[in-house]
Amino acid sequence: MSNLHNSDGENSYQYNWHAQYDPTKVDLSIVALKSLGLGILISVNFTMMVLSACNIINSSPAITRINGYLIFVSVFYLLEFFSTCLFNNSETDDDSFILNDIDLHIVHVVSILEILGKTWLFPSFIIDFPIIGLCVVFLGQFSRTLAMYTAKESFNHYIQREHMNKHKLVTWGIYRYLRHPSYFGFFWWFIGTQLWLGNLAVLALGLFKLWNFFNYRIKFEEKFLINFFGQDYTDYKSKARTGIPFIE
Amino acid sequence: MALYDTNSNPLHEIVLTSLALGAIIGTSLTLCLVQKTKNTPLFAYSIILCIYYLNEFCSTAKYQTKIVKAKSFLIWGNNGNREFLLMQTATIWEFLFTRSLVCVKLLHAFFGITYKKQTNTFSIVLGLAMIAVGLFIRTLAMKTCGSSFSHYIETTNRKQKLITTGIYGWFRHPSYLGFWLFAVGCQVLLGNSVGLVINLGVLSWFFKRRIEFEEWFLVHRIFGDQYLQYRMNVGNWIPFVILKKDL
Repeated sequence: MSNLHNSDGENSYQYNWHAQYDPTKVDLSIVALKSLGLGILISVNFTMMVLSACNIINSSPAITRINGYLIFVSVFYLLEFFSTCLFNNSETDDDSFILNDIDLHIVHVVSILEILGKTWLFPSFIIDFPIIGLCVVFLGQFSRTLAMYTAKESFNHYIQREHMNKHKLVTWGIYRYLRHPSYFGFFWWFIGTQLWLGNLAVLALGLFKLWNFFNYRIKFEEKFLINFFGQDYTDYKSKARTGIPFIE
Repeated sequence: MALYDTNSNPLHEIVLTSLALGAIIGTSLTLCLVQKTKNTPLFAYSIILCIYYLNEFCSTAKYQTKIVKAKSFLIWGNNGNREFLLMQTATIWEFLFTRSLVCVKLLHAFFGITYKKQTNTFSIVLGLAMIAVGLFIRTLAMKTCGSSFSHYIETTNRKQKLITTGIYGWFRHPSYLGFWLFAVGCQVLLGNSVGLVINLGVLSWFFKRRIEFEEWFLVHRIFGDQYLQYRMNVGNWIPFVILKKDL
């Protein structure tokens, strides 16, 4: 009895993690440096928000929103990496953060410029939706990370043209309700960040570009999925929605 | 042969460690810039310490890829980590204590000394210079040595090449010299007199034992006369470390 208990206890503490990623695709120093940079970004912005809340520094509301925005962005990149390395380890590479996507960085810069420009040009014209923005960001991030968790090996940052044995049609969990929950998540995450900043111009332009991007990508991707899974996918398509307005 | 052992390198552990180091650096940096206080050298110290840990990991990952592991930050899981952590704790404690009212009152009550700890700009600059040079020398040593470098003394009889070029042409144990400069530089940066003396003593004792042990193996088990010749030509240059003539 005693030995059995000890054995159980011992087993429950055993570290069962087993790496499946390809070391030639993961430069550990790059992974460490990217994580460091994101850690610095989160803590600088968090510290500035705390110091501002305590009136130790005098941040304008725009600066505080930018602090929050940069935290959302950093957490997004980190969760992209964590989701990939924890749930789809064999696909991990040193840019599973997706920090190499220049378009995203342009969006970040333009977003910050709009809120600063708006504050400077129209100081009394304040229209923003921080609470709604915050909730929508959480909804988006949660959906995307949950999607990557649910899909596991079937998820990929890149569209797959070949059907692999590990690829299964995922129809449970969040995929029961949404066909592309990671796209749904990113779409609404973006909307949430712009509502948080009160950026109407970037919101409108971004919505236009993002909608077109997902519309094209989903149509393109679903050709392969129908090819892979046949009638199963067609049936699935009639039950689950995209969750992105006006994309059937 | 894989580039490195993936099972010794769980990526989530590496990311979380780097993230924590980044968080400390970011917070300390923000507090340094927002308010110049008497504690600024302490924030600088915490930033430098995080840079040191990250440098250990990245240098190992880059120059000694085969032996890299998630523990290569040298924060936990390696011999000597607890001692290093203890030394850091004592360092921080001394810095804070010597600037506290308790210290002023104690010195006044027992020794009649009117004491006020002043920030010494020269000490800060000298400390930063020692730290920068120390990290540079240590990183350069790891780069020059390549796969021959190890955080542990090699006692196996593997075929190895004696490195005598680059930084090893100037110093026999540049990675130890780099660490010495780093550790002593931290005490100078913070203006810790007691910490400085203790560090000098502990490091002298530690490096003497380690180097004598290591060089015994290098001569008697690996390189023989070749290393004796190298030893005659290239000095150790770690201050206060006096080695035995005979091995």
